[in-house]
Amino acid sequence: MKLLIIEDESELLEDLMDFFKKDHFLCESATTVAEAQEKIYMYNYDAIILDIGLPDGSGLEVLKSLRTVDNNAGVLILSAYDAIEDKVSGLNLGADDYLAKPFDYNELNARIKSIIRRKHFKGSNMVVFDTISINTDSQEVHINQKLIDLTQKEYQLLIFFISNENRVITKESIVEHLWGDNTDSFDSFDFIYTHIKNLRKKIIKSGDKDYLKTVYGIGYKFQKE
Amino acid sequence: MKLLIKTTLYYVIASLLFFIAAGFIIVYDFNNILDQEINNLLINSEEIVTTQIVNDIPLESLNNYEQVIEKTNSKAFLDKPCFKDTTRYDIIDDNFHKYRMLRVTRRIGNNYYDISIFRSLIQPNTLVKQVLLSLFSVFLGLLAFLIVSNLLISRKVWLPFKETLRTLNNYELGSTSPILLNKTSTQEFNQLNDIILAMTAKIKYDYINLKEFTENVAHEIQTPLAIIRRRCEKLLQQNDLNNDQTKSIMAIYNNCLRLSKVNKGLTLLTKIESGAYQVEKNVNLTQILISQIAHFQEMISLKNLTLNQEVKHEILHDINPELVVVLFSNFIKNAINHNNAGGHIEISTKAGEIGFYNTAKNGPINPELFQRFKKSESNSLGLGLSIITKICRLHNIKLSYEYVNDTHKFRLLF
Repeated sequence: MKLLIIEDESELLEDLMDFFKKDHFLCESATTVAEAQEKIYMYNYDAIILDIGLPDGSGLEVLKSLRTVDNNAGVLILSAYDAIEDKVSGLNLGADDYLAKPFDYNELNARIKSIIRRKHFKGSNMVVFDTISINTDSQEVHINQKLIDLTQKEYQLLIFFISNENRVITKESIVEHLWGDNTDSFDSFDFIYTHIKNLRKKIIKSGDKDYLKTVYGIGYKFQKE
Repeated sequence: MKLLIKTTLYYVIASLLFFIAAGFIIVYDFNNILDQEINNLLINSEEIVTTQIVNDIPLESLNNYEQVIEKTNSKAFLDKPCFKDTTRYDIIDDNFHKYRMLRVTRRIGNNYYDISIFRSLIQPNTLVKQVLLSLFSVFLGLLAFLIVSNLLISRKVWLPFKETLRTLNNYELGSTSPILLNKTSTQEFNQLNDIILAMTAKIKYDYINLKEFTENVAHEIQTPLAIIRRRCEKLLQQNDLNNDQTKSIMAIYNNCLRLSKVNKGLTLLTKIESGAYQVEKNVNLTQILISQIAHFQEMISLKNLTLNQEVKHEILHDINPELVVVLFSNFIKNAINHNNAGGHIEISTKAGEIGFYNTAKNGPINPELFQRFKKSESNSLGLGLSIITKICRLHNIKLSYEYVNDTHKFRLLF
C-alpha cells in the first residue's frame, strides 16, 4: 500500500511516517503544496493524508489538482478542529474522510484502512485476521468459517482492533472510536468493558483462541498468539 | 415613541402655548383699541350735545336713551370728563346690558349742565368674539398645516437616517459583505455614516484579528498535543514498562486528552460566540433529538438508567443543526453523568418546549455552573452548561431550570 502524507509539521510528519511504516505501508511525504502536487502528478498512491494548513497554501488546492489528474487515491483530510468550513469544502472537493487534530492514531489508521478497502477492493471487501474473516460490505463476521453474531458496537470494536493489530490500544482510544467526541466524561470506560467482555467471549467460543489481551493499566492489544 | 411623533407633539405643544399667549395679547390690544374708539365717540357726542345746548336747542329734544342732559348745581364734574362702565336695563329684550358712559358738567351761559352720554358695549363685544373666533380658526388651520408639513418634511429629511438604521440592523459582523451607506445631502447624516463606517471597520478589524488569534492558538495547540499524544502511545507500545512508568505515561496521556477536550470546548464556545455557525431556517429539532437519544441509548442502558421518552411534537427553530446536536448531546450527557445509580431520565416534548429531566444525587445545580469552568465533579470539564447557555442565548431559546423532588428539570422554550 502506498501512502502519501502531506504535513508541514516535521515532528508530526515523522510520527505519522513512523506509525504507518510499522504497519507495512510504503510512505512518502510532502511538506508543501508544491511538493505534494509534484508527487501526485508523478506517482499513484492508494491513500493520501492531507493537512489543510500548509506553508504555501491550503491543502484543498492539492485536492483540486488531484481531481484533475484523475487519481484514484483515497484522501483523508487532517485539519484543525475549529475549521468546519475545511471539513465541508474538503468533502465537497471529493475527500473521503475527515479527522480533526489532535487525532487518535489508531483511529486514523482504522479510517485509512477503511478508505483503502472502499476505494480499492470493490466487491470483495474482506478483512482477514488469522481465523477471522470479515466482509465489510455485509458486515458479516466468520470465525473458522462459522458465522458469528455481533452487535454493531462489537463489530466496530473488532474492525478497530484488527486495523490496529499488535498495538496497545488505550481505553480512551476505544471510547473515542465508539462514541466519538460526545464523551468527555472519563467514567465512560465502564461502558467499553461490557462490549469487550462480550466480544472476547464470542471469539473464544467460536474459535478457541483469545486474541484480545488486557494490558494492565493501559488498555488492550489484539494479536495472534 | 417614534421620533416623528415626538417632534410633532413638541411642535403642537409649543404652538398651542404660543397661540394662547398670542390670543391673550390680541384680545387685550383689541379691547384697548375699542375702548379708545368708544371714548372718542363719547367725547364727540358730548361735544355735539354741548354745541346743541349752546345753540339753544331745547333740552327735551336732546334727551334720549343714550344721552341724558339736565341742569345741575353741582360742580364736581365741571369740565372733568369721567368715563365709567355701567349696566343699564334694556326694555327691548328685558335685560341688563353693559354700557360705557361719559359724565361731564359744562357751563353754558350761566347754567351748569350735567351731561351723561351712554354707548352700548354689545357691538364691540360681539366684534371681539368674532375676531377671536376667526383668529382661532386661522390658528387651527395653521396648526394643522404645521403638523402636516412637519410630518412630511421630517419624513423626507430623516429618510437617510432610517436607511442607515436599516442597513445597520441587517449587518452581520462575521459576514464578508461590507456595510453600504449612501451619501446624503444632510451634513450631519453624512457625518454619522462616516463615523459608523469608521467604527464598524475598526470593530471588524479587531474581530477578525481576535478570530484569527483564537484560531491560531487553537491550531498551534493542536499539533503539539497530537505529538505528545502520539509519543505517549508509542511509549505505551513497549513491553518492558514497569508499573510506575505506565502510570506516569498514562497520566501524561490522559491530561493531554483532557487538554485537547478543553481546547475543543473553548474553540466551540468562541465559534458560537463569533457566530461562525450559520443559522438555517426551520431546523427540525425533534428529528435531531430522536437521533441523539438513539446515540446515547446504549450508554443509558449500560449505566442501568431507565429512559422515558415522549418525543412526538414537531419543533422547528432557526438554528444551526450542528449546534442542535451539541446542545442535545450536552443535555443527555449531563443527564447520564449526573445521575444516581438506577436513576431515571425523562425526555419529553410539548408544543414549543423540550424538557430534559433526570434524577440526581447532589441537590440543585449552583447557578454558577452555567458559567465557564465551574464544575461539580473533577472528571467533567465544566464547559457543558456554559455551552448550553450560550447556544440558547444566541438563538432565542429560553432555558429554564428547576430542582424538584430530587430531579433536575431543564426546559427549552421556543
